[in-house]
This record gives sequence, C-alpha cells and structure tokens, in this order.
Amino acid sequence: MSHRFGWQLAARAAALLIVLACLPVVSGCTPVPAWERSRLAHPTMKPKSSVGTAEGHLHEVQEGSTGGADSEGGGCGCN
Amino acid sequence: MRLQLIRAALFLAVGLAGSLPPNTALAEPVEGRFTAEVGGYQDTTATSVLTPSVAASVALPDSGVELSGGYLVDLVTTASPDVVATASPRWEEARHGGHLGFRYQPGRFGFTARASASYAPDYLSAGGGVTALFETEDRLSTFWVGPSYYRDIAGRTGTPWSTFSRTLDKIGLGAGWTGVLDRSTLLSILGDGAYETGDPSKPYRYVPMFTADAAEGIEAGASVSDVARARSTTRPLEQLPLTRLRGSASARLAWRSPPFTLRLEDRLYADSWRLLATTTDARLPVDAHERLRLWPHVRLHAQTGVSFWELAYVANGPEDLPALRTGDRELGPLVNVGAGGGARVAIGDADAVDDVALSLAGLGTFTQFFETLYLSHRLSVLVTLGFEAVW
Repeated sequence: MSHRFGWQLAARAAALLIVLACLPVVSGCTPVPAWERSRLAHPTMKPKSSVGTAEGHLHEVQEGSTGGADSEGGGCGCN
Repeated sequence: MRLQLIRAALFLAVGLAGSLPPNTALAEPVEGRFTAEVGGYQDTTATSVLTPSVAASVALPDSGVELSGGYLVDLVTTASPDVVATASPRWEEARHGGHLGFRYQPGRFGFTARASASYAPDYLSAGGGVTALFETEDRLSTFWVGPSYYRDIAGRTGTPWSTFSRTLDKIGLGAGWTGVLDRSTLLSILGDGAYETGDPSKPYRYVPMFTADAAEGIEAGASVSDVARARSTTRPLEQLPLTRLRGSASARLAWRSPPFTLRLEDRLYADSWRLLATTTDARLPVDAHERLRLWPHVRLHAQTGVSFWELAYVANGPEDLPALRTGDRELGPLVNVGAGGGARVAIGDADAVDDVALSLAGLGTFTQFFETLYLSHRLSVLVTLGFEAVW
C-alpha cells in the first residue's frame, strides 16, 4: 500500500504546486467589479475552513496528520 | 499552573487592547459576534466526549481592528481497548482550552496575533503566532505569512510536575494566498510546516512485545485475550522519535451558484516519520429558505503508517527492544470515511434575519485500521448544536 500511495500523493502534490504557481497570474486576468461581488459576499463563501471547533478537535485526535486549518485571507473586497 | 496560564492569556489580551491606535474613536461603529457550541461524541471503543465551547469577537471595521477569544472544555470518558489491554480502569478527564486573537488591517497591509493555551491534569500547552497580511489594490487577492511557537509539557496524573515532566517544542511557519477567480469562485492555497523537538511518547502507553515465532501468528485486529496469550512478559513503554518535521499543502475552493455553494477542501500531508496523508472534505450548503440553510457533508482521509509502525513488535528480551515502538493507532495506516450534514435556522427579526441563528450538525465516521492490534475498525458519531449572534 505504501509505495503506490506515496506515488499518488507525490503526483497530487506536484499538481497542486503547479496550480499554486499559476493562480496569481490567472486571478489577475479576471477582474471582478465591486457591483458583481454579491455572490462572493455570501456567508458560505468565507475563505476560512468549514470545520468547526468540536469537529476539528475530533480529526486531530483520530488522525495522525495536522495543518491546513488556519487561513488569514479575506480576499474578495466584499463590502 | 492553570491559573498562571489564564493570567498570562488575560495579560496578553489587555496588552493587545492597549496597543490600539490612539485615534480609535468610541463613536466608531462596532461589530460583534458571539457563538456557542456543544459537541457530543461517542464511538464503538467506549469513548465519550462532551465539548462545550464559546467564542466572541469585536471589530472596529473603520479602523481595521478586531479582537477575538474563545474557551472550550473537553470532558472525556473512556474504556477503550487500549485501556482494557493494560488492565486499567475506565477513566475520566477534563481538558480546558482558550485562545485569543488580534487583527489590525487599516489598509492593504496588516498583521494578526494569536495565542492559545490548554490544560489537562497531565498535559499543558501554550503558544501562539503572528502573521503579516497583504491585500492587492483591487482587493481580489490576499497573501499572508507568519511563524508560530508552542510549548507542550507532558506529565503523569497523580505525579508532581517536579518529579516527572517532558517538554515538547513546536516551531511552525505558514503561508497562503486567497484570491477571487471569477464572480462566483474563491480559492485559497495554504501551506504550513512545523519542526517539533522533545519526547512525545505517552507515559501510559505500554507496547506488547512478541517473539519472532509468536509475531508471525498475530493477525490484524487480534483480540485483547489473543494478544495476552501470545505476548512475552517484556512490556516496554512507547518510544517515539525525539524530532519531527511536518508539512502540509491545502487548497479550499468555494463556488456559488444560488442557492447552492460548493465547498471543497483538500490537504496533502507528509512528515519525517514517513506518515503520508490525504484529506478531502466536501460540503454543499443550500439556502432552502430565507431562514433555513441545509448542507450535506462527506469526508475522506487516508494515511500510511509511520516508518517504525509494526503490527507486532519482536523482542527477544529486555535488552533487545526495538528502538522506536508505538501502539498509537493514529500513527498507523488507516482510512477514515465520514458522512453527515447539518441545518442552520436563522431566528433574527424580520429586518435582521441572520443576526441570530441556531445550527445542528452531525458527522458519522467509519475508520478502517490496517495492521492494528485489538481493533480492525471503529464507528463514531459527532453531533454539534450551535448558537450564533451578531450585532
């Protein structure tokens, strides 16, 4: 299980890094005027993780991996 | 020790409040938010946890200032197979945790600071971090980066800290980007890493040892009685490596097409103990009514075991122990599948419907353990009841 799983993870990590490298360029090519940001301002569109306090603690205890919970971004100018 | 941690947290909060810019006007509009949540957990290993928590935040949007804080208690009762295997009685424990946060972003640049602490009779943790923020002029992208540091102190229940304690230091670094892809899509990419030093081995966890012949006959999920019959008399404590380097890369996508929002989260994880993991979480909130939101939720987590994981450790005597050994199932290979959902009901006044809301969510998980003693799988259910109010 370990070797095949490791290669799959490596491939997914490489794909994620490629997307990460391209995104700042892509996001700059589709400007969204302020009057078209109503969907982005919806409460379900917040960039922070959807995982609540109790659920996050549950996963910390049940699983060996950590990370990815914190996000400081606001990123939509939805005022 | 617990009172000292609480005093330190309060001192930090007062200090941060005192650092507000001098021209902050009390007449400026204030936004506040209060949430309360109670989580109840039960699984098939006879472990029950009740987790009440509260959190609040106050913001001065014109000045770009926000203060936040929260407190939770974990009330744990367990008689898990690991407890039974060591002939220990059922035990109960309460763990207290609190956090404080501060954000200041008057324009395109800003910073955040956070601190947290937790207390259990045999485990203390305290630390925090800071983050620098930068938002582009069109407010469509936000970048952030920042370090963190935590110190944990592990002891033994009933034993003074001066007699037995171990420290574990964690230094972390995180960075991320959130951006608008189009008028319906928001994407976040974040990465974080941590370097841990110290002995994280559990002082209560004994690891059964076997002769080479006996180990060959041990199957995954072997019962407590089967293991007791086959194991040798040597019963050392768990011993984990004294350092650990962790890293994760995550992506979060939110895409809205009213009344639906699709939220996808994906995380890849790897560490120096050779544990590799992937986690995918998907939710689909639907605005069924002005006052009602429903969402289904599915989650998948898969991980390999650490490099020193063994179903049955082989030792020919006390002088022949494996240097690294553990019985912590969460360090072994496993798959965790979760499914559930939730509902949120807004109960605010007609002109401010969303100002007050109640929510109910549930998540059932099935965990399949590979190469593990005592258990081959575990079922669990988590139910959370929440209340939120904004002003």
